Amino acid sequence: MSVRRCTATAMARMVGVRVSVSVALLIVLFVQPASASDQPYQSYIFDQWGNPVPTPAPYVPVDVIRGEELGAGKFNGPQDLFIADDGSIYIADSKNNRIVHISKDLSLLREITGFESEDGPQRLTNPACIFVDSDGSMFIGDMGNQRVVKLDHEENLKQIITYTKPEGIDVQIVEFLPARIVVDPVGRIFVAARNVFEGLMEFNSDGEFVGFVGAPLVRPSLYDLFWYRFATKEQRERRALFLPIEYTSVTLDRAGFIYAVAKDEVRRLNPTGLDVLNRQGLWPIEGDVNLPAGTNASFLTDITVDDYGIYHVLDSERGRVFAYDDSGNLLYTFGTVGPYAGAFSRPRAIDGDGERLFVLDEQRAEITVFAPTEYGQLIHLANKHYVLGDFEASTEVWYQVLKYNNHLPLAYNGLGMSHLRQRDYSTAMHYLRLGNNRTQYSKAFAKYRKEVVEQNFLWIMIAVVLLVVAIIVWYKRRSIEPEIRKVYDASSVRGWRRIASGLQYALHVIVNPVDGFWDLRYEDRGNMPAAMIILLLASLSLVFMKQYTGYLFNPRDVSQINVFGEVGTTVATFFLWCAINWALTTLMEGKGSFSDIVMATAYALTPLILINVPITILSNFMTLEEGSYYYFFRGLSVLWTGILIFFATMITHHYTPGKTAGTCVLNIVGMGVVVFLGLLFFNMVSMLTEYTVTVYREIVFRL
Amino acid sequence: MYPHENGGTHVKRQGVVLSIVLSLTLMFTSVCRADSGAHEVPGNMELVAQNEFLSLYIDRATTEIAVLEHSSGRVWYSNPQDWNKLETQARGTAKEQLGAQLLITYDRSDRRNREMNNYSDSIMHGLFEIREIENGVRVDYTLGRRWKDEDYLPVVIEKTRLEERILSSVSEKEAREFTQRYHLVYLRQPTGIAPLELQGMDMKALLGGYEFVVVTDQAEALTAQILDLRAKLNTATEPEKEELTSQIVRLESQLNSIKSKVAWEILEVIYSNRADLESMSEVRFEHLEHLIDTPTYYMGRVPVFARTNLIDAVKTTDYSPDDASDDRVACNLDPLQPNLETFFIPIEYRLDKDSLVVRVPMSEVIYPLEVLDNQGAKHTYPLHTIALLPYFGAAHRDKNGYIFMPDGSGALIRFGSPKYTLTYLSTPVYGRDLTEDNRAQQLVLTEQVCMPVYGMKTEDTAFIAIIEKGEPLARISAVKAGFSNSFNSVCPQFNVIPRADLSLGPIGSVVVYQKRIYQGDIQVRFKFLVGEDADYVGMARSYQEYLVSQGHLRRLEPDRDLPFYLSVVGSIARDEPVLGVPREVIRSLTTFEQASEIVERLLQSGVRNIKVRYQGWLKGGPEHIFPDRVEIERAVGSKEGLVNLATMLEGNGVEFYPEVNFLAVFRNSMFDGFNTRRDAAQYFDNRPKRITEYDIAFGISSSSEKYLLSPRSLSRVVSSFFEDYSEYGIGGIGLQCLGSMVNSDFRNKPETVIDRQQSADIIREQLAQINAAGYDVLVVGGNALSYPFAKSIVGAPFRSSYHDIFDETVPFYQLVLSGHMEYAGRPLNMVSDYRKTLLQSISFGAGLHFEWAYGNTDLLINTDFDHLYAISFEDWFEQAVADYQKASAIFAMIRDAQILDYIELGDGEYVTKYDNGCSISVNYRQGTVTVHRESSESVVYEF
Repeated sequence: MSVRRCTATAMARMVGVRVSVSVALLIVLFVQPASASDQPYQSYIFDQWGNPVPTPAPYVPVDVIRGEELGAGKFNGPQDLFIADDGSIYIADSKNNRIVHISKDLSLLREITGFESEDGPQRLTNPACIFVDSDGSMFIGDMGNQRVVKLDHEENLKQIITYTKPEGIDVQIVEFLPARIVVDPVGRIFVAARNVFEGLMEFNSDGEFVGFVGAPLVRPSLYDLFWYRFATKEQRERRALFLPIEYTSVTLDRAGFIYAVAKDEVRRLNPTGLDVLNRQGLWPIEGDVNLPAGTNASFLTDITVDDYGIYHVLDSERGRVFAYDDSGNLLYTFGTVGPYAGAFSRPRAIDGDGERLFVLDEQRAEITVFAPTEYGQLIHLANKHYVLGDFEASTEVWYQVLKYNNHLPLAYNGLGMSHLRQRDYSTAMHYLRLGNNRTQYSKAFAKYRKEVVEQNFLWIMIAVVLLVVAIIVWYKRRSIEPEIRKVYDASSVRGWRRIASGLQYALHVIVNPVDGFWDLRYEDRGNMPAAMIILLLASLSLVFMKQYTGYLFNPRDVSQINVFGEVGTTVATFFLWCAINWALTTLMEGKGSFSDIVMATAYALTPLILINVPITILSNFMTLEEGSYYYFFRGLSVLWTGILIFFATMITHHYTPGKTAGTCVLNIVGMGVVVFLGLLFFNMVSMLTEYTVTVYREIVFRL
Repeated sequence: MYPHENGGTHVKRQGVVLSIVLSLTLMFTSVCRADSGAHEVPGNMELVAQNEFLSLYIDRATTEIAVLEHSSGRVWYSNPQDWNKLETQARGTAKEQLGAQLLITYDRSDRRNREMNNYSDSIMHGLFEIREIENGVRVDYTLGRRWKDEDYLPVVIEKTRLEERILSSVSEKEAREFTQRYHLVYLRQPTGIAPLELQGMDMKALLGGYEFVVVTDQAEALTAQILDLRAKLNTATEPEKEELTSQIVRLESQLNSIKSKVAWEILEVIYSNRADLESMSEVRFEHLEHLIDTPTYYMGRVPVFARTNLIDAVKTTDYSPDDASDDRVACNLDPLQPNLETFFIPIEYRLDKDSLVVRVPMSEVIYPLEVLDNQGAKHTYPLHTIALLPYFGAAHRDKNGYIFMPDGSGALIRFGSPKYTLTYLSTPVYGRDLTEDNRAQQLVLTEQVCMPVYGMKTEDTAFIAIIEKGEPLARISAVKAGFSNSFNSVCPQFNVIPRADLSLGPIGSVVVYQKRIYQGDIQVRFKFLVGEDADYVGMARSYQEYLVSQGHLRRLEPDRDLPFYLSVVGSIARDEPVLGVPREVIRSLTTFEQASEIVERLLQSGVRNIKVRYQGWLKGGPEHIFPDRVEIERAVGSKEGLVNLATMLEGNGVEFYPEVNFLAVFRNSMFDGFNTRRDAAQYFDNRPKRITEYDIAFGISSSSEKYLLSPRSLSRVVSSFFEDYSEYGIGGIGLQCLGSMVNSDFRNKPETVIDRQQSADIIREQLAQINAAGYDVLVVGGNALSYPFAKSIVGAPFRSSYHDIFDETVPFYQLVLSGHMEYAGRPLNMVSDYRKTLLQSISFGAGLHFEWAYGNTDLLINTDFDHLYAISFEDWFEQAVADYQKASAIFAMIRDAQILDYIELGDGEYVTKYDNGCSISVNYRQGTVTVHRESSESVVYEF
């Protein structure tokens, strides 16, 4: 899919991390399990907040292949599975030192245990992988003999590939242990070898080692970099071994690109070895995301790609298969671990024959065959039509998919896209929103907005004219009123008028901070009720922004926003700032009292109200392209408020700018310390409570 | 408390006479049937009961039983024959288990799950008693000996008592052995002989001025000599005196060396048999007081072989360890410490028509509950589980056959099939007890055991066992040959005292037990199948007949249409912001009017026998308010709307089942009738049990705000609900949990505990009440306990849990209910394989089930109900109607028929044969159903 979702993805990730803590994970209902199923696992996808959402099963187990049932004797620690172009299946039955070849309809064809060479017969030892090219030539990773053996389809030896250290490359490979092999259409051989961290080993068609491709990107953390500075040479060398990861598996797609997996990473390498995998989905391509505490990341052991760009990766951590489309959208998951048919113990390899999927389990020494359900078939079909450019057919299929899962964002997305092409913008917007595709939604919205404006041009113009006239009239009337008196007499204004004038004065302060804050304090121009109103309005404006910002700019789960919580947080932060500020400035000869600080800081929040409210309203009428205005004004409101707080502190306490800056930094540090202490205290109290409860319980149960 | 200590195999004379008469009768019958190739009942077995179908035998030495079926002449044994020879894998106790009829586990404070079996711990010691009862036999077992062999031997005993109690009744040789191995000693007033000196002992404190006398020939001779010399001394002259004195000193030192040797041995005996002494030097006169002028035997240092002889000798007398203990006390030693870990469990075997009924009367079971040891401390050894007849019909690994497990729709475990891991499986009847459930993670979707049955087929014989009493406490355990021994076996294991490990955080954990043992009975009925019938289809028929005979199932009316179950989702709860605060709001998916529109459209399309199950009509949606009253959810409609819907449905002959969930309490508000302390089921820690929920991706548990209702409160809630409900004039009620859940309440007092059996009884009682009030009942899930009361079942299992140990999933459930219950599986629109499930339903004559909502399915996104991902009525309507019409045409041919047989033809094709000559074969690969009839051509339907 060519859908671009970068912004949405970025936002979703950003928010996802935060939301994941607060939003309860979706729960299997206990009373009537959602297990309406013919398989021992629940399939799911992740929604935009990273919560797993149940889906129908895309694949169900239909058969199990065991050595003894084939008449080939029990498999022993099989490592690899390869489905050739003719649909026959090769199994690297490693600990039995053989390759087992079975036909498409699962009957035994042959066993390969060795081959004839010039030096007499040779045997395979612990063959860990196999690749069969279009001619039927077999490339067997003969791991025990540290070589790759190429046999033709009649098992005649064609080539033996071993690794010899080439000149000029500074790598140390002690053993050559081929774990997975692919041969691209040009005849280049790529080997994912065990204990090799430099990338895939590339051999040319003559079997000569050429070099490494697709070196795993080493992404040292700050911590690593820090220690690297101080490490000794030996330590650095030792450390270097731990940083990179080795590829666990490779496969080839139709275009001859290599898909490789390493631990929790997936790559698609073009012929020059660059990673060109599309990562436009909501979530990184690494199996399970949004992991709860104490859960390991997925460990990807194998990958298979179909003809239409859908790839399945196999996770041995939780025995799952994850399917992604060409763009990196998670289509579905299935599988689990456990002593059940259709679940895995130690899954090692996966391959598909275009329809069914075969998963090889090393520990159980068997292959589970999965067939797609109607739901799975439809997803594949919709993707196929889409990849082939038949969008109409694709739309039709997405409609059918919705019948089986009317919560599938991808289906809505597909529908939205097609409605967009059909210029049915409002329907497109509806679907794209359900499909959670902000980029395309923005496009549809731009078109829709244009349509609406064109249709209602007259009314809009009239409204604009009326508004302009109203503003002019209001401004005229206002300017007739006497100017604000130069000498302000606080005693002359009382009651609500005093508050009103205090509020009005905020507008003066924000443009003339130096005078403004001075007068606020020393001319008694501000007052506490007004300051509190400003504070309340500012916090409300923040809530308003969170809740009513247009869909395109609002990645939050709006239904979870709680006014009281949000206002409370803002007000608490505000007073924490003021309290720390007061504490610091008292020590540092500040002139302001606590109420001065509160008042000045509250007045400094005015820009938040003035800017946030209008841009929140406007954001509902903006497209993503116009987003820069939105973000500019949001930034402006924060910056402006920051500057005002700076001035407020400076003027209230009679500080120099330098001292103010220092105070502000200390203030922030102080807030951090208080929060930390608060958490510590809270933690201790909760531990104490827990301890007491435990002791109580122990006493109760022991008695 | 511990009866029949030395019971042994003693038989009443009448019993002997009776059994001789019976065995004569049997010999006669068996002669008549000699040609049927009957398996002979071994000669060591004795006939104890007989009726026209069966004969019951018992081996009086091993208490193994055998059942002979007269018509086939086949025999079933409680334990594998010749297990002693055939068993090659197991050793020791693991091997001896094969001779057991009971396996128990119990806990000791230092170790949990200690095991005992009645072979090693009872039969081998003869601790059982066989008694005749009406139509059968009863064996009382005491597991665990109260006394060790050692305990029979007195450590100390008065001379007279030894002579009276033991020496008088043993042979002379043995008596001599006794007098040799024991030291006879006493204390007397000093006679002037030089007192005994023991190194490091305060002799004054030890002997209190008395003289220590050892009675042996040598010592007596020496004493006499000394006394004699001393007498002479008085009259002797000076030079003689010197001579005499030196002689006396020599003799005295000789005597004292004999005495000191004996004294040290006695001191050792005293020291090692008194817990209060920390060293031998602490022995005092008070410990020896009883010896004053009382000759007493102390046991000397006896080598092991001699000890065995002595023990054997004592055992022939009536001198018991209790006497030994008394003697010890009389001689200032601690009493004997009996082994407290003993259990008394009786088993009764009865013949009841064509079945063998095995019963354990739990009220007579005795386990060590607060028993006192000789220090006066209380000990309890909770009896955790009892496995009954663990090797009944067990098959050696060379045999062919399978174990039938009732998991989900049913599953087979074939003997000796090459399989990856599991060779053992234990699974609870009626699913998990959710009150007990404390799993940290749950990722796999499984089915539960709905029917309390199990069975085994070996070669051409089979049996099915029906757990009649105590089934909610049972787990059915299947063991394949190779797991612990060479036999395939299956048995029920009853959890008679449930327990839990309560975590105390960093300190560790405490094991807490249900406050009392299960007090009902355990009863299992065995039925026997031979030849053609000896398979799971025969087992199903046999179980069906049993249910019919018990009145639990009734044959359905012959002229009915294929049932169409419509589950309607009325409303759901979701979080929405209300004035900026997120709140739960109930949104409608299908109002009463919309539901009636759906039904009208179904009726217009020719769908008949519709049964509407309506969820989310009570206030609060599917997770409704505490149902001690009826309050209609406004989002769905008004009271009038509901009444109108009910009237409309009734007028069209549609059954209407508004659904209510009594066992789960989803909401707890201030002023509802639910009081957490009183009404919530309590966990072992006496806290109200919250329902555990598991997230779907990682399976991690979290505690919800939802509670389980205590069974004690069920009747109150049910009656007050129906008080309100009766106003609506609706004839049916859908019950969400009563057919799928049985939960205990582990309250903190023995009288407030509700064990799982009681809970099941309460559920039955309430279902009966609802029935009696005239309501038709639809249950979800379909536990066997609901069959007598349910008119319909939805959500019936159509698969097993697919445990690795299973070789095949079979439609046992369907075979049992066929023709006797209207039921359906899970909604077809929600299963992963629509076509397969549809074809399954058709081949067994089960109803079709759909779960629909009229509209607004978008509302389900991001709610707790997002697993309802395919319930849009418009999407499924046409398909449902079309498939119903085809299925209905097929159903018309079998509606009054019963399933005779079910056969797999291979390649995805299965045939169900009916007793009216019709057979339906389905091909899951091609999606076809072929109906064969005797008289006409087959018809093929494609789906």
